[in-house]
Amino acid sequence: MWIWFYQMASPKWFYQFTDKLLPWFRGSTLVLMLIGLALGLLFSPADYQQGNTVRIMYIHVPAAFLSMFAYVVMAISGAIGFVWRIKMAHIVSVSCAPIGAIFTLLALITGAIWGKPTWGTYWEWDARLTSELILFFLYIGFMALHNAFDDRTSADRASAVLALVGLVNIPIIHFSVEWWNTLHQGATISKFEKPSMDADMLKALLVFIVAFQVYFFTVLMQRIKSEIIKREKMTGWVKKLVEGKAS
Amino acid sequence: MAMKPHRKKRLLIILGSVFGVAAIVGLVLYASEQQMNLFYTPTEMASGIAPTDRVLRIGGLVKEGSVKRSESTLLTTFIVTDLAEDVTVTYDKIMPDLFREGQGVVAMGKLNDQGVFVASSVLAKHDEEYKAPEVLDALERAGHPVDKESK
Amino acid sequence: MMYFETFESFIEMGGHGLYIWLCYGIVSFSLIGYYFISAKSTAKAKQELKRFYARLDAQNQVNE
Repeated sequence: MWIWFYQMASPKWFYQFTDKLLPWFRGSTLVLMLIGLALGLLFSPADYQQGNTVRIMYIHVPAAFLSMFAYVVMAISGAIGFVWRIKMAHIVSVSCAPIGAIFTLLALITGAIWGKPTWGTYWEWDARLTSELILFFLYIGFMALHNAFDDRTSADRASAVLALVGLVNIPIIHFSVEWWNTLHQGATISKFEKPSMDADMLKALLVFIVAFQVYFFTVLMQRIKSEIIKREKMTGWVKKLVEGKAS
Repeated sequence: MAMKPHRKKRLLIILGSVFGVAAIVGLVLYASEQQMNLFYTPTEMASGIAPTDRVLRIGGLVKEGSVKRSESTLLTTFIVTDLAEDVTVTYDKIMPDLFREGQGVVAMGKLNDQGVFVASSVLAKHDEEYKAPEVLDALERAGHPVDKESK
Repeated sequence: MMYFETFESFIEMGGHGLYIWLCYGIVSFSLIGYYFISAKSTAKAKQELKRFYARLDAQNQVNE
């Protein structure tokens, strides 16, 4: 187990490892997304109250879920890098930020478009919507802070601390609909009971959640690869890789 | 696993700052609870917690059978309930699609002297139940009345 | 079983077509776009490094 952990911490090993995994992840993303689209747009019923606008949920919920998942990955790998001084952990942490920011923005935009026909408004300053907007600013702050330092080591450490401190926002987003009166409805499938959702709708939602997750790991690995060779440019293996074959 | 002292120190600094910030944020949120709520419930309105002199929001369920629409104007009168207290609301603009009896609603406006809430905007809440219309019809046909106020 | 019977009803989505297609359009555009940006970033980094190594080698030759 520990040997594996130390292997993972080696940028060279990680680069070669992601190179082998990537084709599988790319293929799975494409297949899962297409199945999700078919289930969500063609093979699922309209909702008894909302009609067809329920189809927005199949991409809104996964985007919102991934916006929080990416943040947790970013904060935890940042912490590992901070405490154990592992280069690779900081590379993962830094690579998560733009992807998480995109998912957050997509959750906010699809939520606004869904809100107009169902609630009657694009935006309301309720606890759920506001805390998700704060998540977006945390991502922007993380990237801005990381860019503000000339020295990469200080940049990594400072942004890791910011990510960890902002981690407190994640449970706030999740529980906001239970702790306060909000316009946003409560959670449907994180309840421990049977989800109160039609079986075909649930299928579409679950496929999209897995698809978004696999997509996240695909683009994360692609970002990590470029981050690794930029940071490891003074090592022999990167020089050999760059000059060896033109790609 | 044995940790080197300097790593342990860094871990403690990190964990300490995270828990410290969490505690501060928790206290601030707890102290500003009323501002964090988007709306007041009818019970809060009845018990006088809600201010009556300014514009505020009220939220709850639209009481079954309470919606009365004017024949000549857009004026709609309905009762918002939290199953304990009721508040009568009037609204004279177009209602959102999802506005219907038994469903959640958030209205913004002011209480008048008669204790009627005059709304300037009405938003529909929707619940976390997702069902196909056919299933609902089948349930009702089979003699299971769908309890819309269960949530 | 397909939910929509005609292609028109699939596009219209019971009058909410604009909202639904706008959402799916924005999400598809962003995810596909970022996929290619992140995929290209490695190739771009390699190009930059190639020039960097060339400069480095030229410098070393001058110094020698």
